[in-house]
Amino acid sequence: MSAIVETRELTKFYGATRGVENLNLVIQPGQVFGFLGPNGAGKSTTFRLLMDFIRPTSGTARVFGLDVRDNSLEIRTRTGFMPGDFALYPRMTGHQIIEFFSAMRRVDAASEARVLAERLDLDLGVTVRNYSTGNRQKLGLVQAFMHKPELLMLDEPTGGLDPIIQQEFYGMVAEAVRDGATVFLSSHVLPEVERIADQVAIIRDGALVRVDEVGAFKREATRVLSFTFAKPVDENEFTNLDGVSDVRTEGNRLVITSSGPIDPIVKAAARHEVIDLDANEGELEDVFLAFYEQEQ
Amino acid sequence: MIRSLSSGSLSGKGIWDRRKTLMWWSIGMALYVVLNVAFFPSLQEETFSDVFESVPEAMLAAFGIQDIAALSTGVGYVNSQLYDGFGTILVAAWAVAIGATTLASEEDSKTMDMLMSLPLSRPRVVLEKWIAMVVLMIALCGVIFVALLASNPIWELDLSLGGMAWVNVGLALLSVMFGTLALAVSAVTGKKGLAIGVSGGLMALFFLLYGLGSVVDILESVRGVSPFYWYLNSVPLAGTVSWLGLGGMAVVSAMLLLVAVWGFNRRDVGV
Repeated sequence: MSAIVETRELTKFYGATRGVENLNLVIQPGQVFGFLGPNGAGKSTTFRLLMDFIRPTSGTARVFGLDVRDNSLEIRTRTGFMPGDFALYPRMTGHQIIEFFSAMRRVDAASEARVLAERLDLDLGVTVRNYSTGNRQKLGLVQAFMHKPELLMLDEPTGGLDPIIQQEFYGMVAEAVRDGATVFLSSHVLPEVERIADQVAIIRDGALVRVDEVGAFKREATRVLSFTFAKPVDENEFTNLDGVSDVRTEGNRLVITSSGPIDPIVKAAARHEVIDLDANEGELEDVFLAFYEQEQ
Repeated sequence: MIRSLSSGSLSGKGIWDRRKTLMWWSIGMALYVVLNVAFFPSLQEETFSDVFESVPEAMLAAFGIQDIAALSTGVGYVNSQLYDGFGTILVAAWAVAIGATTLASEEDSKTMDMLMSLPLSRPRVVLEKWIAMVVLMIALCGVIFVALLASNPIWELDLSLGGMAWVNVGLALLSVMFGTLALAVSAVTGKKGLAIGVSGGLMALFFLLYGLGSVVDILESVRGVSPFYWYLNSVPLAGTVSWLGLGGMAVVSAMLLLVAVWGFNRRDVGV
């Protein structure tokens, strides 16, 4: 099966200002693809290029195998999109927005929208002007999901949502994927991407720094292992192991900081009598920050 | 029915959103018509024409009064007060305001991203917004027509039905033309201030050219380029229609609409 989203050397400059540069992105069917990067890195620019709001300076982009410009209407019919920084017509109620968007999409999504609104605890009877930021965000999600699109593109979907609603949103994403949808979402919140994405792309200054499975990032995450041995051990047995960045001894205790494979450390430790072992889980955040710190 | 107008189509929404503005414009223009023509009987008296005698011809022309003697007839008076005067400018100004803001305001207020995420082609977005403007202009000119129709017997203006109808058809066309110009500028550039400036500036220029052209010799020859000349020179209020003039406004409107579609289709939106 061909890719749902595929960009080749996709580049966008706004005058002299860089949006994205030589972006090569492939999103496979059924994936939850997390787009991670700080504000201004080019996440929104990528979404806007895929939605044909803006046109590339060079390079190409295809969604469902279709050219984003020539077949934009078909792409938009089959996609649910929530922009990053959006507004809805302030004088319409939630119901009227849903009704208007359904009419424009020529679908009857009223009942599905009601179900989604209920899940997200959103009152559709309120005028958009009187919604809080979080409620406006929820309405943005409802309109993106309501027509059961094949592709969901969500630019920073959970900003402004409280934790319980975020959980509900993760559930909606999981159900959409179970029903065959592909999800492309951006975030600058790591635990979120860690929680729901299969694949992660890190973008910095308009360029992809790395694309990999969440598991691969996790395996590289820095761990701190502390062993307690029956008697003191020589720390030189550990310093040259792959990925080990720091080894400290303190009496019978040995504390190792490593971003490498765990197996050689365990095997080296097993040559001695291990009384206790404590290992914290690697945080994706450390890997993420490592990519950012390369810059400085 | 009303619900489906508000949310069934983009043009329907464009009209529905401006229903209150339309109501106020209708009340305002109807009052403008009635209050102006109500002075017609008093102007028949000698003293009033004496006042005008002392005003320079060019100044009167700039205000739409080209022939003082004509003020004594219903056609001449209504033309000078409404159609050759500021009535036309007012109506066209609303069209310019709609044309300049209908796309640009959605970009400024960031509702455009949501709109563009729907499966609507860009030409359709422009076309539907243009249709909304046209319907609003027809509605407002219809109200002015009715106000004039009602005033006609009361103040003995002696206007023909055909004349009252044609002058308002022309008014709608002229307004749509300037509104479409504003739409085209904002569609190409995304800047509503520029759209208002260009359209309003050209409107003022053409209005003065038409008015002053009747008394200033060097402007006489170029007076024909003014759309106000196309609209008014044949005196449509007297029932004499210039098909060339109406056709010219229709053709220019159509061309400007094509520019608007082309301009909006090619550029980055909401940047």
